[in-house]
Amino acid sequence: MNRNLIVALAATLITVFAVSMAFAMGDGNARKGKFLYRKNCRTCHNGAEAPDLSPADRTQAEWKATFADTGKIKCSGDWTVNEKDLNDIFTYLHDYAKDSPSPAKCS
Amino acid sequence: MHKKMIAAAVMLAFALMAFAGPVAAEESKTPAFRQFHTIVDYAFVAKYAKMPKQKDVMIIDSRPYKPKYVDGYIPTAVSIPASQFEKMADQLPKEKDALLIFYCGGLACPLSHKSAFMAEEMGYTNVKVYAEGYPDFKKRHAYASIGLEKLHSMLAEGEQYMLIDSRPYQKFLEGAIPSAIGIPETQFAAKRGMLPADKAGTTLVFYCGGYKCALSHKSAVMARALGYKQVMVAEAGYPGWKEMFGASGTAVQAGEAEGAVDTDWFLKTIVENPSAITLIDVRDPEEFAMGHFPSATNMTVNMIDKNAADIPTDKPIVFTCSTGARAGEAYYLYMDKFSDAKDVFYLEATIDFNEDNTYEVHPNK
Repeated sequence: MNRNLIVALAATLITVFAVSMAFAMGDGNARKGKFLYRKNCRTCHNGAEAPDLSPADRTQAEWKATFADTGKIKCSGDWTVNEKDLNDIFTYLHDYAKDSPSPAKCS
Repeated sequence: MHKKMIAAAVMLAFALMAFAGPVAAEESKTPAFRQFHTIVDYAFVAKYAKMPKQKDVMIIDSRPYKPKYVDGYIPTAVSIPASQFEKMADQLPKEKDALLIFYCGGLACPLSHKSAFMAEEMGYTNVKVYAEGYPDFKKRHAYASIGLEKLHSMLAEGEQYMLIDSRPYQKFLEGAIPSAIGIPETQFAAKRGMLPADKAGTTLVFYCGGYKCALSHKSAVMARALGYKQVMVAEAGYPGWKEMFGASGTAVQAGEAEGAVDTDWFLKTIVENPSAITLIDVRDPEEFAMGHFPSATNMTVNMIDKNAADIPTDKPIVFTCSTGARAGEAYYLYMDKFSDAKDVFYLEATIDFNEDNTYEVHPNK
C-alpha cells in the first residue's frame, strides 16, 4: 500500500517535472542562439526564400506566441535543432525583441 | 564443490606463472637473442649525444615511443621503435656511411640489435649498438631528454619539478610553456638563485626553441654542475609544445559565461602583452574605422563564416564587437566549424570606442 503510494507520487512528480521542462522556454544562451539562428534560420530567412526576420521585428509577447507552438512555424518540419538549441534561439529572439531593453540593431 | 576446485586450480596456475616469469628472466644472464657484432660503450655514445648535433650521425632509440621514449631518452636521439622500423626507415640519414647508434633498454633488450641488423641489410655501413642502453646512460650522464607528453603529464599531475625556459627573456614573455620560469642561458650564473633549494628531490626540466636549439642542453649541464641530481631537457621545446598542445602558454583567464574571456584579464593583456592573443573585431568595417582596439584585426562574422581557416591558431583567439552579441555569435560559429579548437574566446562586454582608438569597457551584467 505504502509502496504504491510512493510509486504514484514519484510518477506524478516526474510527469510534472517533464511537462514544466517542455514549456519553460527562455533563460537559454542568447549568444549561442544568435549563432544557431544564423545557422539554422537565416539560411532561408534572408529576404529571398523567406522574409527577412530580425529579433526586433516582433515584441517579446509575439515571440512567446510564435514559440508556444513551434509546429505552426512553416519550416519547422525541416529543423534539425534539438530542444536546447531551440530554447537558445528563442532566448536570443526574445531578449533582443522590439520591446526588449536592447533591441537588435542589425542582423 | 567441483567448481570450487577448478577455480582454485586455475588461480594456483596463474600464481605459479606470475612467479615463474621474473625468475626465468633473471636466470638467463646471457641473452638468448643474436648479438650485433659492433658494440659501443657509454664513452663512445656521449661524444655524439650533445648539441649541436653532428652531421651524419644518428642515435636511434629502438624502444616503444610510449611510455619508454617520452619518459626519458639519450639527448639528440630519434625514436624509431623496432616494431615500426620498416615503416619509419625513411627517417634514417640518406648517406649510407652515416654513423648509426642503436640502443634500447639494456643488456637484456634485443630491440636495438634487431634494428641494427635491419639497418645493415638496408646498406648502412657504419652501424653500432650501445648494448648497455638507456639504463646505463642515465646512470652516467649529466642529464637525459624527455618528450613533451611526459612534461605535460608532470604538469597535469602537479609533480615536483621546476620548468625553465632557457631562451632570451623577450621570447619567454611572448609565450612560454605553462608553469615555466624564464632563466636565459646567458644569465644562468647570475640567476641561479632562482633555482629550488632541494637539489636532490626536485626535477629540473629545461627547454628552449626546439630540436636545433642548444640553450637548454647547455643550461642542463650547468645545473648538474651546481649539484642538481635530476636534470632533464624537453628537446621539442616551445615550438613543439605549441604544435602538440595548441595555443601559446599564455593561459587565458576565462570569464563567467561559456566561451567568455575574463574582462579584466583581457584589458590587462591588450595593454601589457597584446601579441599574446589574436584579437579579432567582428564589427562592420565602418564601425571598425571609427575606433578599435589597437591590436585588433577586422573580420566580420560573415567573413569568418567563409574564411575561418585563415585565422591563425598559434595563439589564443579572442573575438570582440560592441556589446558581445556578434562576438558571441562568432565564437559559436568558430566552435561549430572547429569543434576541437582550444583557447577560443569572446569578450562579453559593452565597449565604447573613440576615433583615436581609446576605449571604455563596461562589463555586461
